[in-house]
Amino acid sequence: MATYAANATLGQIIRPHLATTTVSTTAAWTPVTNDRIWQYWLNTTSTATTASITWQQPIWDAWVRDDRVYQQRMVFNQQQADEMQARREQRSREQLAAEQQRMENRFVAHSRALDLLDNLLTEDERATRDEQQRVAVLGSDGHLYWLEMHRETVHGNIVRTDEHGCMLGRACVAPGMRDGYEVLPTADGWVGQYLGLKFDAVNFLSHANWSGVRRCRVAREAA
Amino acid sequence: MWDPANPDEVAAAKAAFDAAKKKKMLAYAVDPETGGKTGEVIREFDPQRGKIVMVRQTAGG
Repeated sequence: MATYAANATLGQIIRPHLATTTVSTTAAWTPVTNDRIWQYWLNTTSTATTASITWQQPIWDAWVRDDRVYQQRMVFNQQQADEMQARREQRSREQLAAEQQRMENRFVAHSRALDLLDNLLTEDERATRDEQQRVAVLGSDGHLYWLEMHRETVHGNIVRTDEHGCMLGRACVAPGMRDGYEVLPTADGWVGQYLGLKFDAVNFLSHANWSGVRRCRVAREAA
Repeated sequence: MWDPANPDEVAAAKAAFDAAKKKKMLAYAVDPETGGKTGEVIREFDPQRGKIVMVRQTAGG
């Protein structure tokens, strides 16, 4: 009669084993694979379950201690790791290439959008844009607007002003800037804002959210 | 921009126009020579224009 613990202490059991008889009379241990242990564990019935649970810990301990099993697993994992690493590197290369392509596309799209904007602007407007990063637009509603471009955004960059240069309010309105998951070049938004203000101001600004709305400073002081 | 005398370019431009209108984009007329005198909002495709600007639907910020 031998116990698992005794055999393990003597170094006779260094791999996962299952008892073939009852716990108290076990004289032999059958080496098993991890899969078999797991199946045995899952499939044991009531009485055996007790034994199974009783012996789960020693079996698990032996499994963990077993250098041979461990080394075997390491070798296998090393092969797997190499393959996984190769796949990861390949994926990274593909993602990097896609990202570079996306950036290149964005750069081209941005350049084209700026070209389009410049093509629409008058010479004076282009000069103002170059010098001040904004364009003065006389809206079709008769108001004067600054289309600001220094912040590289289409949010809140339209300022209604007057002949004194007083700021009368700031509008946030722009063409939809998302095309599926891609964001359109900011300059495309400026094109839409420029055209909207210049030729369709009432309709365009009917979508706007306004902030900082105030009366003309000169008019206030005169009142 | 397209060449009004080139049927292939006109067809491609019309297809692009129709696709953009389906997305409810606005079309503005553009002078093909100067880029100026723009602004007329276009409802129907006109092959003689040679150049238009399509702008996505407006949204408040």
